[in-house]
Amino acid sequence: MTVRTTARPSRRAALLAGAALLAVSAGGCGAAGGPGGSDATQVVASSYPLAFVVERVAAERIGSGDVALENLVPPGADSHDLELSPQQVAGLGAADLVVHLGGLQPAVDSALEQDPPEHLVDTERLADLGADPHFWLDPVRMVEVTREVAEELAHVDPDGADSYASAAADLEEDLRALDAEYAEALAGCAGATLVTSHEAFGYLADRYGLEQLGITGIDPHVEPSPARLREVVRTVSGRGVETVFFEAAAGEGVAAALADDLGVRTGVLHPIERVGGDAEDADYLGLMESNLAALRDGLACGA
Amino acid sequence: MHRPPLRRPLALAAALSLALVAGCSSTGTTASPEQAASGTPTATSTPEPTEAAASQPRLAITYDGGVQVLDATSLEVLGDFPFDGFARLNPAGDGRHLLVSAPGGWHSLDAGAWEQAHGDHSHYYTAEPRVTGTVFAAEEGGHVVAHAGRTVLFDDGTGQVVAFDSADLEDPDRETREFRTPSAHHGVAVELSDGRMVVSEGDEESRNGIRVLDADGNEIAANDQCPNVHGETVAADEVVVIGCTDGVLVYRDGQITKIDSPDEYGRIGNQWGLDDSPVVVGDYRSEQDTPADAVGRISLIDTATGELRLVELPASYWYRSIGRGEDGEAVVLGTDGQLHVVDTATGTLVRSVPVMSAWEVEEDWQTPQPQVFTMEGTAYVSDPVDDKVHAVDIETGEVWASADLSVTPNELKGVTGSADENPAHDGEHGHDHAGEDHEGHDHEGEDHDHEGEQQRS
Repeated sequence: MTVRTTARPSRRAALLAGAALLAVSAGGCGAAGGPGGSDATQVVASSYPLAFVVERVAAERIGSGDVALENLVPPGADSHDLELSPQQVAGLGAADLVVHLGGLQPAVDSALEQDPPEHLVDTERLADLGADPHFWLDPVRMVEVTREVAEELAHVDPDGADSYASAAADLEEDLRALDAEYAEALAGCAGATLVTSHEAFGYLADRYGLEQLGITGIDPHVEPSPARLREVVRTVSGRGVETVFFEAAAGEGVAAALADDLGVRTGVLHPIERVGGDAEDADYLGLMESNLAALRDGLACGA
Repeated sequence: MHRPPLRRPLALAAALSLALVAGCSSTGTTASPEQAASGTPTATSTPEPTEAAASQPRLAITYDGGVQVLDATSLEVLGDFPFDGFARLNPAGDGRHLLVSAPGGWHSLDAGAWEQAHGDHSHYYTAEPRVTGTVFAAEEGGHVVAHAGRTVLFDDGTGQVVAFDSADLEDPDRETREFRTPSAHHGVAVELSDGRMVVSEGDEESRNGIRVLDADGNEIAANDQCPNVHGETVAADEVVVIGCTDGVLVYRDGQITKIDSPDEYGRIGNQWGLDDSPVVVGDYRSEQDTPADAVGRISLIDTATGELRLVELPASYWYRSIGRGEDGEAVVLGTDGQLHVVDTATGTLVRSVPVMSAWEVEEDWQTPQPQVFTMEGTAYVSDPVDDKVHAVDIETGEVWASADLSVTPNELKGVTGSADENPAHDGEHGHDHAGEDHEGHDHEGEDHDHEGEQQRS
């Protein structure tokens, strides 16, 4: 794997990274510390889905203290607009391996460009459907990540090579099983309209033959104005839609408004981008399972 | 119908952690070079944003002593900021901030809702509203006109015009275009997408016309046949309409033409245009000695045909109780307390909706009177009679929310919390009108202290 940099990092990100580096060199912010002990192989993942793969593939070596994993995005935090602390910028450059999705986080792109780590897995080529970054919602693409992470881990930590290969095979098996489960469950739903308030499910829709239709202006926690509700009605009417999916459970007012005006229910689909916030203990696989249950329940499928 | 306010949990822990990080990475608020002097509102530090699933429009109201920011959906008060003197509100043009005209100049108020586009989708954020500390110094801060992604400020005290990209509002290094009119006057300027600038012309005694400057500041058109020039708006195809006491000036295709009012004194002082409509709505007054005509009429100016017609309303109104709906309707809150909806294509009254108690137009324009602000299909009405704010669905007439206020509201403005509130024109076509609130350039140019003099002259 070679270092891949974004063609044009944003000016703001560059300035931010510059300021952060200055702060480090001035020694204003205490010691920069990477994850884990100094002897362990330092691995940094820049978002939850990537950290999940590393966690699974390197589970044994993390358990034994030979690998330390840091997820740059704190549990539940926003990955897009991640701003790095000086320690994190320093930690990125010093890491043995960074697993990243180029283009998602300008601050990380910029830091990686300024101070490239020894090894980098950049998953950007898997996010090939337009500007939508959420490729991880397609289990088949996650198989690719699994393989690349295992291969690169074996390079930086040859002692763990067997362990990585074996864990990667297990994860791949889980992902293939998940894919098969989705394909089977959604086989009768081809062409069904997946209405979502956040158009994050393009890879999932593409893999399983669904039509993603985004609606805007509806916050599941805020009872919408009549004009916004009308806009949703105009968008989805005539498509046989039974459910509008939000990222979070809709409040009573919103659910009631949609039921009254549209005759649709609300459902929850998790984009699995930010995981581990309050009261959330499911991992990638668990969330993909609950998403499938929601789709089964909410999509208009034949037979 | 009254809705209980909806509450959003504050991410206190997150805010604390941000403060710690900010101390190290210099991402905290930086003082603008135009930082306010003492006696003006104190800037607060950057609050931690919370992501929202959709854009979160905001309202702002003035009262005697300050400005309150409200959630435009729940009508819950989110912030309260003291301001000295008679504060005025102007949407800044970026969908997020308002510029508060107060002693010292225009003070930036972050309404606390904004959009960040990420490729094919957007993320929306909210934070606590705050006075940012950015101040555009002015002797007498007047009109703010946002159009085509640009914001133009006019200082009535000096005739100084300052224009900049609306998105750069909070950037202390923003590039500005500045010039000064030959004489100071209560004026207005609007910049078109190719850099042409339409600016009023006058001095403290009289104001009788406009000049059009090219992007380099050279005069390319002028007209001095517009007594008491006041108010501007931009209609479809970037046609500019300017008000006079006997009609309007229309700047179109490089030419300025005059459209006469049907009355010798037929004052149009404030206009409301939409990017996708050739019809401009104007106020109208043919009686010089009263603050409002006994019979309310509005003017419809068709910039494509040059036709000006008047539509009689069931009640009188004042020039700040007017707005436009998303389908081009004119909405007018009459002194009968009803919101009158006029189809601007046919010139007919579509509907009258009871919203509030009856009221009277006051001699003094600074006395709180009902104001209308339209945004995303809703007409918001400030109600100083009963200290309330109302939200009316323009398409159906449903008063879908009302809330009690702890203050008596005067001015009422809002921002959409989305980036397309005042989009830059990217070429002649491809302009996205969807969801645009168009209020960026409604600005309701009113006459300040000149108003009374004109009426009695």
